[in-house]
Amino acid sequence: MTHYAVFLAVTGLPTGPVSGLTALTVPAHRLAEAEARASAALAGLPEGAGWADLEPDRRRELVARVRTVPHHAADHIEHNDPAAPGSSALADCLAGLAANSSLKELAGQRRTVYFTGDRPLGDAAGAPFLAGASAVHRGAENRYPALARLAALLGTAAGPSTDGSLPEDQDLYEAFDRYTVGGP
Amino acid sequence: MRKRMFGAAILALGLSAPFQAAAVAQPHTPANAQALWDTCQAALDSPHESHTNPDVINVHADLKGCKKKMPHYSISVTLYKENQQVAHNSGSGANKFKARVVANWPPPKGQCHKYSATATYTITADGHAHTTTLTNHSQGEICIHK
Repeated sequence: MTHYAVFLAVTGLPTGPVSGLTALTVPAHRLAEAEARASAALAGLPEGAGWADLEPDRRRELVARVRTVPHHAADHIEHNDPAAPGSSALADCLAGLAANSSLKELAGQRRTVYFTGDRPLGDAAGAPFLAGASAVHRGAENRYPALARLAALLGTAAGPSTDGSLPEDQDLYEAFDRYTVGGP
Repeated sequence: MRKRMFGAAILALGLSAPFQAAAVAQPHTPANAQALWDTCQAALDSPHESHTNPDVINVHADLKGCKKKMPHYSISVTLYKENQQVAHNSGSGANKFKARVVANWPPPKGQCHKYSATATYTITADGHAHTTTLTNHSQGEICIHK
């Protein structure tokens, strides 16, 4: 059984509604290598910069560098619709991640979940995707700052990746062997 | 200067040479592509040495370019070494703008081979299944060094 580390970045203002969830999944046995390569890849990236804030040449350079980060997949789930009754947008996104993303094929594998930031999980804490994890940590940036930053950057890159505004060589998702981008 | 500092940082991290080679590599592929549904395209790049995992041959099968979400999709990709199947993978889902699946194979080191790949894509929308199959080939032999 393979063990995976899943870095989750929530899209939306810290105290506002959740509008999306991005997952960067890394084989746990390559976590240290992935962090080191992500750190090298993102060196010099301005604090808090989103994908759309970067110059085209910088985006191309990052796409080439991020290709070297060991990974299983990158997945982004947007959530523009009202949450299902009795649920929350974050819980919906987590359900979508488990059932309708590249993570679907990892069902039954061990996983440790790292959330970026310290947003309260609320009722999503009981979501099966989290309940079935070996451990769930918040504040991923304190343990794996570069992978947490890359997950957050993927969150900001999802819109430009699908709205046709960027050429392929500036699409961050192009750096990944597997991806899905869309709804829950 | 920045390049030299970057290289030094890599050495300090104990990372291997393939990183630097891959970091400057351009997207590999002449991809075969075909319109499938609405603005969505199916694409299959040419089998190549992985930029992420040294000594692995892989090929990517994509559905992309969609302005509307695919109600349901499936992708199945197979990698061949000189007509012998060596890797297969598939993926499916719903309500996505884009998706990619990869077939990976770590060949024995010290061998050179030509590779090919086929991928079958289906988007199901409004009760109709839109399907296509693409084929692509490596650009000559790919050698994995000892």
